Amino acid sequence: MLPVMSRDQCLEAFRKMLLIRRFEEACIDAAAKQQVHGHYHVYIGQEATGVGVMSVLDKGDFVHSTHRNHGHLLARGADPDRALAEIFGRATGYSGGKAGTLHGCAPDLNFPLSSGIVAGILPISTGTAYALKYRKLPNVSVVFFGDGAMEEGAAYEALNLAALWKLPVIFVCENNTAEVERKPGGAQYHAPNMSIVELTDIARIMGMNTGIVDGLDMGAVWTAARDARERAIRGEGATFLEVRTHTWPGGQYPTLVTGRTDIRHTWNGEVPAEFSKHEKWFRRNDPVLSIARELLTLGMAKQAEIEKLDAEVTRAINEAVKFANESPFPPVEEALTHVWPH
Amino acid sequence: MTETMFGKAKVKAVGDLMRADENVVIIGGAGFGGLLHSKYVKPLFDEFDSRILRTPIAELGFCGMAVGAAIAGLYPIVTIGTGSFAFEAWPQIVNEAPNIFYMSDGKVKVPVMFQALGGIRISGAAQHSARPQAMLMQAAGLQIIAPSRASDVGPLLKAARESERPTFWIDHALLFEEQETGTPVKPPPLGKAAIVRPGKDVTIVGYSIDLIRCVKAAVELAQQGIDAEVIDLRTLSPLDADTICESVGKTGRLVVADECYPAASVASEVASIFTGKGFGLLKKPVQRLNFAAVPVPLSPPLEMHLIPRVDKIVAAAKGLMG
Ligand SMILES: Cc1ncc(C[n+]2csc(CCOP(=O)(O)OP(=O)(O)O)c2C)c(N)n1
Ligand SMILES: [Mg+2]
Repeated sequence: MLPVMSRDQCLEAFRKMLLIRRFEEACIDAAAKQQVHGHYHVYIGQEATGVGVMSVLDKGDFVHSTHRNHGHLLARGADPDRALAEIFGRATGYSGGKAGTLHGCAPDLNFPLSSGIVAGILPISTGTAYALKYRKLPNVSVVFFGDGAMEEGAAYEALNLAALWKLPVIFVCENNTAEVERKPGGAQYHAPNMSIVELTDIARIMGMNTGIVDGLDMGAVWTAARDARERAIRGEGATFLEVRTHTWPGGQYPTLVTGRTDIRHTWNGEVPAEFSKHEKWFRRNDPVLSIARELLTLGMAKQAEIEKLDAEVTRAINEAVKFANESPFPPVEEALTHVWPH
Repeated sequence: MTETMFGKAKVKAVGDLMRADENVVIIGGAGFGGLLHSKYVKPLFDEFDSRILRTPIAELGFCGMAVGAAIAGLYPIVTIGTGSFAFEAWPQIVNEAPNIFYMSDGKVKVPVMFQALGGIRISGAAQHSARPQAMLMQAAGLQIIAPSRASDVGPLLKAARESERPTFWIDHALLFEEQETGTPVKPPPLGKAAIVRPGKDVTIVGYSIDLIRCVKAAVELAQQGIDAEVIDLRTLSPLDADTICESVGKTGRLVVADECYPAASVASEVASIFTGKGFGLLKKPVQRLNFAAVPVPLSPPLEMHLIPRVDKIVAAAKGLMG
């Protein structure tokens, strides 16, 4: 539910969610043309999570992410041109083409290198939180990770450290398999293979604050993250949020199986015949359409405004694609730079 | 029919081990190839469905589990996936498995095979391109095999299984579709290198994907009148110094291609033979082609600049002539 936020905040959050959607669609198109190097993971279906959390953060907070980081980077305010150029391996990218899609990085936004290793980022996030606490800064560290990370030992060690020392961390576990039946074990590549049913139980028995949040509801994510941040700043330690989203039907093999998002679907409600197999996605599981419908219902935006915003965002992404394509690859000598600080 | 595609031959080799003994099991979910190759791997996984433990993303846990299963009578083949993920299981692979036989005074055997698709796989970037083999060579008690040819993968796997040693099979992400041409050489016993192309002018040593590059380089060199002898190391631990020395005794020249970083690498280990056993055999300095000591960059031109390409091997060999 949106009303916790002002109209401007809501529209800005919607704009960012659309920006992420159009960015990811552009990545998928570019990958079909071999412009994306290495395997990549899109954030389609999870936009409300990154944007909701990021909306409550301060510039001094740290943000950490994983292989699925494009959305987090943009939600934090990264420049789509440089973000896309990085994914294309170009010299103008955030990391000069050295890191690529799995390793989103925008140090000027307190967004250090994302880890492509499942759960590898969790211990690091406890470290930035420890430094913030040690330095008595009024800030928190937020770490995004998939449900799969809960299968790795590193996650448990990190949760324990954060709980033990009441570190200012917000653990955001993005469970993008909400549709998978919740039963112990025996799931699939994109769903947790866990002996427990509720992921939050793990953090709860460690004494952490926990919450299960609907990832279709940007307002709910926003509220949960705001509360978690306030608790952390008050010295009450870490929070573990499980944000549940539905797997985008194209999530495993990123092809546009649901087509390029037609924002008019917000109000016309027709599922294009060719995508009828994915009707649920159009009717209720797409967080971008969900928030657009909410804005309409609450009278915060009119159809024409939504279309205008979409046109602006689309134009920005088209320009990012152009920028990335026109950017040069780094010269080969760059391969040997920045191994050491001095 | 003998398989000439490396990937098909390795799937067959694993299947043969499993058919021969029902205590051979597969642990891990990652398989033996990438998504593109799942069609070749699927029949194996279908045939042995009940003997495959599809694991959570828990490399440390399931590699340790394999060590235990090996102690208790199974022969686990553990598919770790990308070579870099071996680091998640490092404590079990380097600090548990290799020590147990020795520390039990030869009483507790750990017959297990860890397999991973290592190497520079093209745009894997730094966290998905590890070549853990040189670091693994520091684990005394761990055998390391690195087959590169379709005709060799079966014999090497079988020998490793019979050796009952904890073994790391360092596989390469780019080997799957490599085709072996010509008459295969007879596989020597485990621990011996193979001369895959006899020659008299220069010795070129490689293993895994670098061996493929060495063979291609030798073909180019032949067109330019240089007769290269190509040696496939096959096993990195133990490393066969004798075969290399014999060859260099003939040629006096040595090029080594190795995707590892230069320091403490497979190539440096091969070169070190000539400060001891092979002292005096060289007419020219050893040419080592490694990946420069930088984390692997994503951007294709940077990555391509750093790998031991065929043209670099050719140039290094030519530089030794005359
Ligand atoms: C240590 C490690 N093991 C395996 C992988 C391969 N891998 C990449 S993404 C992924 C699934 C991760 O699932 P989840 O954490 O739920 O994230 P999602 O992709 O669903 O966002 C796996 C197994 C990896 N990157 N790191
Ligand atoms: Mg997931």
